[in-house]
Amino acid sequence: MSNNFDKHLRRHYSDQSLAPEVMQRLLEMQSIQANVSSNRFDAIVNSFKELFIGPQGVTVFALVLVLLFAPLLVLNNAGVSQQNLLSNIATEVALNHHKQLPSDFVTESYFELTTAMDKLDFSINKPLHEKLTGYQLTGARYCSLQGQIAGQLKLRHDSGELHTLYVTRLSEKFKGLNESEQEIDGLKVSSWQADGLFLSLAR
Amino acid sequence: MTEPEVQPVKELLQSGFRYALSLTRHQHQAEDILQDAWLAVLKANGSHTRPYLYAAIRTRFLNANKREQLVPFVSMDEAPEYQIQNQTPDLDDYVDHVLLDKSLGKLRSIEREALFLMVVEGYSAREVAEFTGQPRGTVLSLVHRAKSKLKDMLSQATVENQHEQ
Repeated sequence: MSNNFDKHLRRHYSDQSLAPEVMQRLLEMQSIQANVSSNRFDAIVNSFKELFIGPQGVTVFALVLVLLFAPLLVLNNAGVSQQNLLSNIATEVALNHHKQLPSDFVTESYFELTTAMDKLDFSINKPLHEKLTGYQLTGARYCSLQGQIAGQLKLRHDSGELHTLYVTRLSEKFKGLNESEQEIDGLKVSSWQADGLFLSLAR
Repeated sequence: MTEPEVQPVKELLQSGFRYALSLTRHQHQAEDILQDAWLAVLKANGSHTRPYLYAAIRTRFLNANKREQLVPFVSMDEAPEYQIQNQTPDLDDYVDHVLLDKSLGKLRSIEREALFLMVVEGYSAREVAEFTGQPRGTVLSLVHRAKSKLKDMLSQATVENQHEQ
């Protein structure tokens, strides 16, 4: 091996570092996720407490109830995982919104955007939704949502504020999600489905 | 790729960023992929190790670049393994880092990845082969090919620079 060249190559890569603000954000993600996991654990523990702690005389009755209501618990669990997914999406959208990365495609035309963003496996037509009235497209870039390729559209609201819209294909992962509105770090994140797409607006 | 010790998180993230950069050659894309992979590792309560994070990064890069899958192309006239190990081109004289960066950008992502994992990260060809799911000979060939291309590109650029002067 050409040791000297290898040294230069190593130095070339070691010169490349994550920007401090990106590093900070990634470290924050770790603590946010730790809190989410801890809350989930608490919720599970509390559920079990509610089920099993009570007067001794009714323990057997409680067990019978558990058996009777097991199907309901399963359904409820599906609801919880849906809620978790929505909350994960909102967290990811909020993180991407705060990054304020520059647009790779600067245009006010949805038609131009669809042609330019040819890596997307769906077309970005002008989304028609009451939440999107009073917005003007200013540009877009590729991003990902829950590991799936997505478009991040930058929109200027009539009020002058810059908001971001995330659009991705409505895959199986997103299909069961209901329309939702969540607040993350002072940011409102609305998510909904339309025309075979899953959309999240951060404002 | 075996690595029993848990890396300090900052160091791990820096390594992940460099690996993502070796795949994408684009700073923002590398940050995006790293963020996505890091979130997945945290949610899965996965181990904070390079192999785990790198696997998450690789999957996301492949998903995002389906048209440029990391499918190795090995031509019929590739050098045999003994030749690859003994005749790696001598690149000691070519150290211009701006040119090196440009030249790296002209390599295929699969070549940059093999070069990064073996030369920069110090993994063995067998470990890289296991990680990327390719034969060991292909990994060695990719590194050899990448170095040969770099040599050609850098020497050509050096000659052009001399002519300009």
